[in-house]
Amino acid sequence: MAQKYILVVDDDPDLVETVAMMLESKGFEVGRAYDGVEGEESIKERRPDLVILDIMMPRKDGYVLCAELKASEETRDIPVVLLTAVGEAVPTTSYTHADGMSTEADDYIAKPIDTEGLFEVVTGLI
Amino acid sequence: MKSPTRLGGFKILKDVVWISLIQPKKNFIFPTAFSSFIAEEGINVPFMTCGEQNLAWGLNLVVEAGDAKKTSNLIEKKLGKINLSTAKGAILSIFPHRSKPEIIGTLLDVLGKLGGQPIAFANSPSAISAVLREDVVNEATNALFDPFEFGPYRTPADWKLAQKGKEKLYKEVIASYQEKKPKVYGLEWQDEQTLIHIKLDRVHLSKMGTALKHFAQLGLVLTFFISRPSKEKNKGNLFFCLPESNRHNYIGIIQELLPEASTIEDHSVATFSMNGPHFGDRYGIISELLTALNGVQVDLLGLSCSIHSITGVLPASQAQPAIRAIQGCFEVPSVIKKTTNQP
Repeated sequence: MAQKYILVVDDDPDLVETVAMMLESKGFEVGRAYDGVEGEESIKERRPDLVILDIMMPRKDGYVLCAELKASEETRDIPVVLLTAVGEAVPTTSYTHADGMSTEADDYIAKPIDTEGLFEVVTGLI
Repeated sequence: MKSPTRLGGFKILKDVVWISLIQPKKNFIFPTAFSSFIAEEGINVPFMTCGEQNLAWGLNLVVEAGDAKKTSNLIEKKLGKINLSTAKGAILSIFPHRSKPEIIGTLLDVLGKLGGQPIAFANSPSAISAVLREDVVNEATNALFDPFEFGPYRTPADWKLAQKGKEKLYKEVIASYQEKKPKVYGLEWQDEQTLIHIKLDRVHLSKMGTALKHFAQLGLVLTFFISRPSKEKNKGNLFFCLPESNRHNYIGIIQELLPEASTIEDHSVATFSMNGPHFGDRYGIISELLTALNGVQVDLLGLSCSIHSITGVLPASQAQPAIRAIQGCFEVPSVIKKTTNQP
């Protein structure tokens, strides 16, 4: 079976590496991006099998990038998992922006990330 | 002019104290029992390097400032009145390096220009961590933006603004991890390595940076890299591992660029690395590992603990018993053997 490619997008490099290590230890290939714009560019360069997306990020936040991915015919079937941190929004897969744009992710993972919980979500989607 | 190398980012852990000490190998409480004493006192160890040379262990230990007094008292109680070097400082960690020697080399170049910096350093699979004196932290942060680019942060001011309010969140994340048998994300190991010890004048650190950049041109990966304290003033010891097969090339580079440095080589060694949730911030993890390795008579040659990882060097012939011992005391979902030159 071909190795699945997962893109992790978070402005916390420490967290990106942690999640990457967790996924690589299970045999996934992992790409890294450090804000929403980098994430978008990375997806254009190479289509991932799944995207793990932080919410609060500079330049373009996770809600906006997720909404854009789901609005495009080319990328709407890429599963998106949102990362939510303690003190951020209530964990959910959906969010309505102030301008009415809607974000609908496929799943979410709450920080701190539990290894088994992460694999359960990822393997359930790809 | 060379364009900056793009990296993910960097973090600084402030309000820490660096302590270094050297102990004879015949002092059997060091380092295994010593690390147990630290664990029993509940002292977090955000950074540690440990290297054996000339029948003595050299240790760089970093604790939170609030634990510094307790740690010094503990050292005196267990090891007697000994010479301790200490300094208030901060840990700078840059992410990621993918075991590329040129990134560590560039960092040594940058920090070496700040005078007597860094005090200590270590690489882990995810980051390179350098311990800096408190008074140079701002200067070091600014200097990083010359050779490196960090994602969305174009300037030091951008980065500083983005860090505001994150420290509290970070602490909450750390505090939430509790388990009886510690979990690791994975255990990786690699053999056919040579451990090189270099003793050099601290003023020559930037030459070492140049040597590392030459290693990169050979396509080598660094699986282990730490500093070890030296008894001699203004001298430093570096321990690092490179693939055995390229020995003639890199030894030639060292002899050419650092003719004044003295080197020792340990052949046929293996490196291992275990990555887990915030290892550097949880007391007792190093102690559990050292106790397990001690139980199967592993002759550890070097160790580092920083960020999420503990990385060690041991004779390759002892790799299998060491892995079994680690699996006995940690919950290890996978053991991966890496091939030479695989980052």
